[in-house]
Amino acid sequence: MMNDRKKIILIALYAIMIVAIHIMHPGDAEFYWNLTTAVNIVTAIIPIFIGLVAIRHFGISSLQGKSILFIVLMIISWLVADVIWTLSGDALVSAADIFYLAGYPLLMIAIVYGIMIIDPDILTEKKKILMLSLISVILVAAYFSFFTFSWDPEITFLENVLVGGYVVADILIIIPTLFLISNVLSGTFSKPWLFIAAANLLNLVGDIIYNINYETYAGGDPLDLTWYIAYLLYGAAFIVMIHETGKITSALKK
Amino acid sequence: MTLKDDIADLLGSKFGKETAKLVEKNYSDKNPQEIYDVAEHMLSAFMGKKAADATLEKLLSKYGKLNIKKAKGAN
Repeated sequence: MMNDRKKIILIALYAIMIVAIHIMHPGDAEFYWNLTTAVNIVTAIIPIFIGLVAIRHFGISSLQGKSILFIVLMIISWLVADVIWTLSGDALVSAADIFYLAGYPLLMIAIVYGIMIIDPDILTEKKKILMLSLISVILVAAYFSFFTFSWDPEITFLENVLVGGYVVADILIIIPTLFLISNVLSGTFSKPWLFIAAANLLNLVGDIIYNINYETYAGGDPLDLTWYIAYLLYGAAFIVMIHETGKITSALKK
Repeated sequence: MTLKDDIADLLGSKFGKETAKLVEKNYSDKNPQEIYDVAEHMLSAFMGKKAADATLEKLLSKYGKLNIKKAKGAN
């Protein structure tokens, strides 16, 4: 059985390979399009597979298992969206957006389960929820104040809402992720969530760059690497979750 | 529910079903201190001492009559 360090190294090597593909742009346009489409699908399947292993490890009835399940469901939703978007031919708005947007509530549920692992009563603690909501509203407002490019009068209302909406959704996801990490910083539970936070941050960076360049963006763009590496970071997070809890449970009598 | 059952549930929710089974199988309600100590050790490593103490404090409040000693440095 491969140890967890080797699994992480393998993911890192795969990340280097896909970065090289996007920089070197091998073959003609058709070959490159087929190659990057394959990379897209394989890169999403990796964390889905590791996630299913992790769910089996923790059990679906545990909070850890539920949290991982919803991250896996999010990745599946985004993979379906990626496939639809690829088939739709780079359309600015398509059915793919339904699946992209559906990923965010799934990820939010995963984070809430993550918070419930350390604070089972979080959903009844109105002060904390109010504080997190307030910080989110302030950050979203600050984003639109500083990045006025977020609204393009030359495209439709729906296109504007969708292009900018992803950035807003990313910001809304990052706040509770950071809240979770800040509460357990001295424990090993923070380690996998640091990977998840890095993935969420990469999604935000990718979506901001897309927001600025959506007119010139096409599938196979190096920008895709932000989302691909985010997928891989979710996979790495699941490995770290299993590894770190495994170290702690060795304290139990066998 | 006994302290052992509650701690098995608590650890199972964080470390998985195998951990819950191990607590049920290898620990006895006759020695609550041992169960508490292992839970405190594992939870402190997992989510930090402060969060672990708060979680165990809440759980222990159900068992007022148990004479549990907390580890040095615990609140």
